[in-house]
Amino acid sequence: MQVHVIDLSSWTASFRYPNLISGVQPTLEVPPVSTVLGLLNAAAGQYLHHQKLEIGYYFQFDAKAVDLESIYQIDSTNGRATNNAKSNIIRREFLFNTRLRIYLTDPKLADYFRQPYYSLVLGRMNDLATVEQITTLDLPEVAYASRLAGQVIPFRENYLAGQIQALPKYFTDTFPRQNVGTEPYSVISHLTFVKANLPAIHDKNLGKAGTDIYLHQLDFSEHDQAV
Amino acid sequence: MNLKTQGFVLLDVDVVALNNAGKSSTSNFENAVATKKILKNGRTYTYVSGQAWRYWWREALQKNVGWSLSPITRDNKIAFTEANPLLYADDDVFGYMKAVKEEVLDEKGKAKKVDATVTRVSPLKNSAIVSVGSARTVENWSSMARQDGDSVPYSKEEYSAIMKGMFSLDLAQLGTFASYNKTGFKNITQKLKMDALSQGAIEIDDPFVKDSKGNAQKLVQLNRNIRLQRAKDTIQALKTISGGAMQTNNMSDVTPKFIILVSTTSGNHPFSHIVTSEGMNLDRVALNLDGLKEVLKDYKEQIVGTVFIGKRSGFLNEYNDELRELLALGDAYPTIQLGTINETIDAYCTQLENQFS
Repeated sequence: MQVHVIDLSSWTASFRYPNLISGVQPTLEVPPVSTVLGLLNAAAGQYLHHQKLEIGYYFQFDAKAVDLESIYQIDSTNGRATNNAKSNIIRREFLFNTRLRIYLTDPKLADYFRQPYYSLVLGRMNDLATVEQITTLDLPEVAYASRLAGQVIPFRENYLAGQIQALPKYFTDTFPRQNVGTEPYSVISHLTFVKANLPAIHDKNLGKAGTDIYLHQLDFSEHDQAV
Repeated sequence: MNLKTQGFVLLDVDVVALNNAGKSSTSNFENAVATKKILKNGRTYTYVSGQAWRYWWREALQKNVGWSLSPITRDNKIAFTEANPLLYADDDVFGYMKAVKEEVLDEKGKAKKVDATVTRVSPLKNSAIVSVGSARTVENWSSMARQDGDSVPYSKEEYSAIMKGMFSLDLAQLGTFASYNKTGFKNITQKLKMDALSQGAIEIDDPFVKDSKGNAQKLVQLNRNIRLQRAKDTIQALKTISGGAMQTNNMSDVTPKFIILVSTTSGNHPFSHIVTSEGMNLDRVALNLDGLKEVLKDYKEQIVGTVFIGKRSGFLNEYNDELRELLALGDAYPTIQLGTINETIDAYCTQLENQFS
């Protein structure tokens, strides 16, 4: 199967748990689909109205550490921010020396990374990222994935091991933004491999014995019409 | 043009504790402060969080460049800056969020309050500052012993390291504001928009966002000289940037000792891999000049003008000859100019004067 592969790297990255608001902020070990689609938008310079989209990705890091930082916790009423803010010192986990590999079947989307419009960040403002290379590969398809790692897989119907988190697929460009397609996902770190009854593509260059990459089949057509 | 300033710096610090992580959990002392560090493969990499570097940067702009910083309102539970990027350059460059209600007249001419919350994504994005190689930290035992009775021992964690940092300044975003809700990033209120236009700002088309009728939304843009000055000031501040914790006992110069400045037409930051570490403990720093050449060649089309590289004499002198070789790379590469740190910053700012539209 022909896929367009984008390799990105960053010194630091952090992906917050959507359901944790205060206290220690751990990081997810793999970015949610919405983060990767947000990165596509930053590269494109605009909000992309996807209808159907096929995308896979793999994320790895060298180390995890904890930062101490000041935050402003801002109150909201009916989804709108108020000026009620409390400053606080929190511990926030982050990942060090990270690599993100994105697999796209649509070459137009991959092309955005050749000259990204906005600065690319893996998580927050300080997590500046670099596009390492963009290649087109012909990767073999496997009917039953045996080496899934460094990615998120929808939990429903698959019931895979890994940390289970409710994660959004995308955000709307309305005000305020709404998350779209939130559902439970198994967050599978790059450190553990999982077998599944799932079709995937096999990338032999990831890890010692290769990694299977699940291609998310995203369908926003219903939602996009509603907007 | 969608221009960005991409910067890469190396700092060289000795016996510092630039950014601390609170109470140490590994010390035998009760009063022990740990420095921020990352453990990777059994080795320690010290770092300064991106937030701290921004704090130094903002302070330098105020103290050394003469910026009047946006006043912070801090009541019991309230903290926000003025969110007035027309008046305050730091609001423009560093971004903000403020929830406000604005009084407008409805169709019957009656005053009513409407929500006018504004947010601005920072055009200046910076990395954390991380030690290039592994840095062995030491616990420095200290004591407060000038009083009667027992002395009060305490300790702090110090290190020496060459550290790397990078930043990206979005020149197209600088001084340019959306007054409509662009995916939640409305930068200025209607009132500020009117103020800006009456003070000589212009309206330009947003290249991407259209209204319901398909017409381009309008961005408000300050005049060129103000935007250019803000960009130059931000970069010039690196010459005199200072900061870090424990300055009384561990004062260190945190201005760059090596710097690369370049304008690109892309948001990609290309210089993240041009330093590496070597040696058994990965504690020796190496400039990866082959990597730099590769980047310059690969991204030649996205680099606008000259690539400015500055180095302080005495710092990584073993690379002087190799750096000079960059000057004669040929047509496949952009032009390169070498200089001291301050010369390089000045030369880049001069180039910016011609590039800024």
